[in-house]
Amino acid sequence: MIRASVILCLCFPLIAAAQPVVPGFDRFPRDTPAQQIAAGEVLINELNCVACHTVDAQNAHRFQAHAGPTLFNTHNPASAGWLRHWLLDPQKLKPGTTMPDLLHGLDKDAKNEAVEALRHYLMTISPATGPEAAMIGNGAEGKKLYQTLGCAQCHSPDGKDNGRDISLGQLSSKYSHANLVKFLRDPLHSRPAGRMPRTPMSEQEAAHLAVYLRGRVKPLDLHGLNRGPLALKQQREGAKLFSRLNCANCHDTPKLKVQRAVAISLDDLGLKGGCLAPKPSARAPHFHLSAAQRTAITAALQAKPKPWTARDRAHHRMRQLNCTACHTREALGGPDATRDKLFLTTGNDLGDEGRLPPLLTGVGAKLTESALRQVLRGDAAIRPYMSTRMPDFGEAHAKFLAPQLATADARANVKPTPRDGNENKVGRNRYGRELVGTKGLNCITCHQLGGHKSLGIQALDLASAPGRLRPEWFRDYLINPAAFRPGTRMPSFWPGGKAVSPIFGRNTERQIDSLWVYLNELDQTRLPEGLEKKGGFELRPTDRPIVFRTFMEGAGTHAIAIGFPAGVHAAFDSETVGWTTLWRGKFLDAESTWDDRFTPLAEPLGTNVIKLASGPAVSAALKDNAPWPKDGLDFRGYRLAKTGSPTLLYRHGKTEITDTLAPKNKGLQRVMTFGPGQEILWVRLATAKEFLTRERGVWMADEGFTIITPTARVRRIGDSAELIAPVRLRANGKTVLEMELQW
Amino acid sequence: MAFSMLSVFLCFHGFAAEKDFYKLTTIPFPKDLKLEVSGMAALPGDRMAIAIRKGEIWIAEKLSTGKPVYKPFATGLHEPLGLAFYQGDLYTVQRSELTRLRDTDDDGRADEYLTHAKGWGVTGNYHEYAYGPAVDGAGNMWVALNCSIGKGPNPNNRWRGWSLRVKPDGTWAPVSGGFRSPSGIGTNLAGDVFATDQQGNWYATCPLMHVKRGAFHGHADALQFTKLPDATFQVKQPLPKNLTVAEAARRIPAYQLPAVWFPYRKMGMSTTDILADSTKGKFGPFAGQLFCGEFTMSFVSRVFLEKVDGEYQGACFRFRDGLDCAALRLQWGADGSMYIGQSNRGWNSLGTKSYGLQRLQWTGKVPFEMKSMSATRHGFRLSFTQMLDVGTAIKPESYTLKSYTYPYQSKYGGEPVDVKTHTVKFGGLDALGLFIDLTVDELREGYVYELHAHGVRNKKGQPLLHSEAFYTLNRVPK
Repeated sequence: MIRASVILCLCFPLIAAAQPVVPGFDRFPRDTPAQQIAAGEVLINELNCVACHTVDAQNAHRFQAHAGPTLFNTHNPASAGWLRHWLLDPQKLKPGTTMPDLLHGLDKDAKNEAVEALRHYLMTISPATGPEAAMIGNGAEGKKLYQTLGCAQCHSPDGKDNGRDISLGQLSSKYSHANLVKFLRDPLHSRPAGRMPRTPMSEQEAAHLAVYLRGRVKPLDLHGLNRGPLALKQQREGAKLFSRLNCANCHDTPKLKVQRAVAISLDDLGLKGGCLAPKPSARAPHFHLSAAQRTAITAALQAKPKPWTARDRAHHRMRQLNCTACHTREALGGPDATRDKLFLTTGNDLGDEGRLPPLLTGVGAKLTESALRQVLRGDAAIRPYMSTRMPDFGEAHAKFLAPQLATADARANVKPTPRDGNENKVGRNRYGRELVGTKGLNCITCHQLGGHKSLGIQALDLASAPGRLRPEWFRDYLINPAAFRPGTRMPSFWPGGKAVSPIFGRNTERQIDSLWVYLNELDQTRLPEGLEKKGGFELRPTDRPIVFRTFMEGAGTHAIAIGFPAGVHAAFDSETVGWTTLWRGKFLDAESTWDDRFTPLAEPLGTNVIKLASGPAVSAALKDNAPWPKDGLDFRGYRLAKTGSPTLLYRHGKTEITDTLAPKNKGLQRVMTFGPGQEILWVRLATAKEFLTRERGVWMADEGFTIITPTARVRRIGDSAELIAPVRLRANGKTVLEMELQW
Repeated sequence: MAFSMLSVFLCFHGFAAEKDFYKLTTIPFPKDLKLEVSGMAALPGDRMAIAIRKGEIWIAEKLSTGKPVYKPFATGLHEPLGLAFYQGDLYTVQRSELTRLRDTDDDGRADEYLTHAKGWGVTGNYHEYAYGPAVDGAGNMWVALNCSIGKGPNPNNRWRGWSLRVKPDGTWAPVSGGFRSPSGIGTNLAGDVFATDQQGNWYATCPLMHVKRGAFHGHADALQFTKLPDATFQVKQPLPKNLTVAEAARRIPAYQLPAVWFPYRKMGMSTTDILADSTKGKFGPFAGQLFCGEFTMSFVSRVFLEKVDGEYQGACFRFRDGLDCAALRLQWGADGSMYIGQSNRGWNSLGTKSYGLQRLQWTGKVPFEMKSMSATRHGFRLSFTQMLDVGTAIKPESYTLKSYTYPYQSKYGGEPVDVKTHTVKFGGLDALGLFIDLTVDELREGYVYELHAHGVRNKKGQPLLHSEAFYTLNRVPK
């Protein structure tokens, strides 16, 4: 329903008629009288009606005031030029703002005069600012952050103010770069009401964002301030206006002590006039309410006040804070489907659980109250792979929402977890350790544990559980994960309550409780089996050569590494078909191939690494300056001798070629044979900056690497050299080319 | 107390358990052999070739004794994820090639590692698993390739997410595309090739798919290769959004619905290998049907397929639970027992082990099961392994039936949508009481029909061992 209404909105013209944008109103259905009333209640609060109007006791729980942006402090000092545009027409500068036009009753000149007076005055209550140093940012990075950190779930996805999403406004004229960085790092400092929450970010990230946000729209024409007697007069006029317009009813003013002026009680309002008139009288603020908004407000005001349950209180507050912009909660709805693509993850393989902010259905029964408070303060983020960040809504909301959610979501008749079994006697629960480890339920295949990487996919760190989860929830979740997280890939190890592991006498309650105890004691105990130091993946050729296929640095994704017991080793790229690498000492570590799900490239483990060439080993005759071809050979496999020594097999056209390495004189001997043919083929032995020769057939590359072949010659291509040797094929019979490689 | 209820529940199941009909034993292997089974091929002489994930092939001899002797055959392969024995040689698919392994001097170890086919893209991204080969009746070998998740260091990226057919001479061509992670590829007794895939993006749950030239199976990453000259189908892009798979089958001409959907959790979370029952009854009453491995939940499921309108569709059933570990590979032993090769590296599974080999033997007792569920013009025909108690079988209250389809979306996974509960009427019974026809109020093409025959009893008054069946109704017979 909510999604449908959001999608419908998108069919309207790009800029909707200016009206206050309140997601807690706009993104929720209003199909029933009760929904109308709830929507009206949200609007009355978000438009801050109670800042001016009073309410009596029976309505006090429904309607509450909150502080508007502070005028002013060092995080949002006033900008004189920006203030002029703002006060002249807030809706024009920031379509959808909840700031009413208070001067709409004045004619053009009078309005101009009032605005000038007000801004001259406002500048006197703003802290003085000078140029400040701030980190430099990058707009493209800023845009990425804007779209993925969560900004674009309340504001528009493309950063353009459209009258439907909460507008960003004209930020380059309002804030200096340094001020915007400060603002972004702590919006609660100047906007204590928490509607713009504090998203945890580094100064560098804030700087990227500031560059992007300030660069989105053209700067305004800025009018300077008057000086001298005229300015003083305007300041005095402005002070009077500030008081008469009751600006301080909404805005905190650290430099002033202003008595709040009170307007007529909400309960006694006529429902047609004042702010609620389609065209409000000159004395009333003009919010530019739409007809639908007026209807909802009227419905809320007419409704007979009912006491609220904890659930009502929580849901009302969550609508005010737009929680469902990112989270789904049954009965409240969920995020806008068209923005789904902005929820991203850096976690390979984690699917939607790595990307979508967690489900809030039943969250009060899942998290402890103190964890809820922490989460609402943007602390204790436990999903590092999730690009969207949980922001801090400020202490007041955290203190309010945590207990309300706990009460609202409390489950009836929850059986307590056992607290007096053997597993709870002090000390290092061995059953829990066994269950978590590879010989137990193997939780650590998917889950990180206390900062240690898991063995497979990198899912949520289990060490976070004890500090956050309620033990009863932990138990019931483990028995049936899908009941709590629809679509989760977490399997049940106790399907239907029945334990699959025989540990601890197959007792479901005891097993889960011992897991819980183990996780609680994790920092004082041993890591489970499977996470304790691994190793032992080194490949050591002892009696026979090792032939090992892998992904390898230099030799690519079709690599064949060959290790000889003599301690000389080589790698062959069977995709381009040529030797790429030689080295000495230790051969290779197979961990990246055998044990790391993410298959990083293996690297030679030893020393004296020589890079030979990349590309095919053999080519047809080439013109003088023609580059060596990129392909042309057909890899056919390899054959092992009785000793285990490999001969590689490939083909050039119809000519069968074999290529064999064997240790000789602290290096390797390479023997190539060529089947019958008519032409001359060329073998490229190596590439280097240059090759030096002192005696016939002995070539030294610049890395202390020597190749001995009587027939080789050097070919220069650009600024590098190729050592090549001709092979004249025989019409009948084989041709052999031999060389020695020493390094 | 919940515990006493639990024991009642256990007792209830106690009088007819899977283990009474199919006995599961764990096959021992040497301690220093990490038997993470990734491929199995039966060899003549009571032997089984077993590929393991770290790139070795072992031959288990004297298999039917239950205590085989293991001998090394090949090493240094790059994550072989399948194995086939064809005309005297073993064939395996490594990350980057289909390899033919030969022992030319008969010393029991491979001495030729011949590249039979290669050239598909291998960027080095971890997710680029390659599966196979499955061998069809004509000696063609079929390979199934994962899509990449992210990029690797090598720019060569071709045919990821496609199936390939390799002719006996080693030349190959792509056949179908749209896989995510087709970890099972195999044939039915007719020699047609099938693959399973994993729930995830574009797959709301795991499918069993007929691998057929020109089929687009669903995962959109594969579409980037329709630009290559050998592509066997084209799909108009961008793909339409907010579709169910039933709608996708109508709107996207190349899109081919899976022959069977395995509803998530009910029928597993990650379907793997496919093994046709070629035992001619040695393994019990399901000759000709398919068995599939299940990774996360460590079980074996059963699939009945039929052709309607020339296309495969059918039903899946639970078969045997309680394996030690993820079922990655299935193979027959010479005596008609099923060997289940296991490894759960990288992704967890139920059970108590991380890898190993188990043997499943028919005890000779026939379980009371729905043997098949097939589509008729007005509903479904159920066939049973034992004679029915007519009174319970013809009662509509003995059944509940609902249907649903799945979203076709780039989003990971997906819940069943458009769920409807159906009424079932008795439509006929054969003289022996082995078949029953059910008439259903509405048949929706492209929907899964989930049947619970909870009230049905056999002549002895016993309930079905598994009373749920899931029929994927892509087409209603005309």
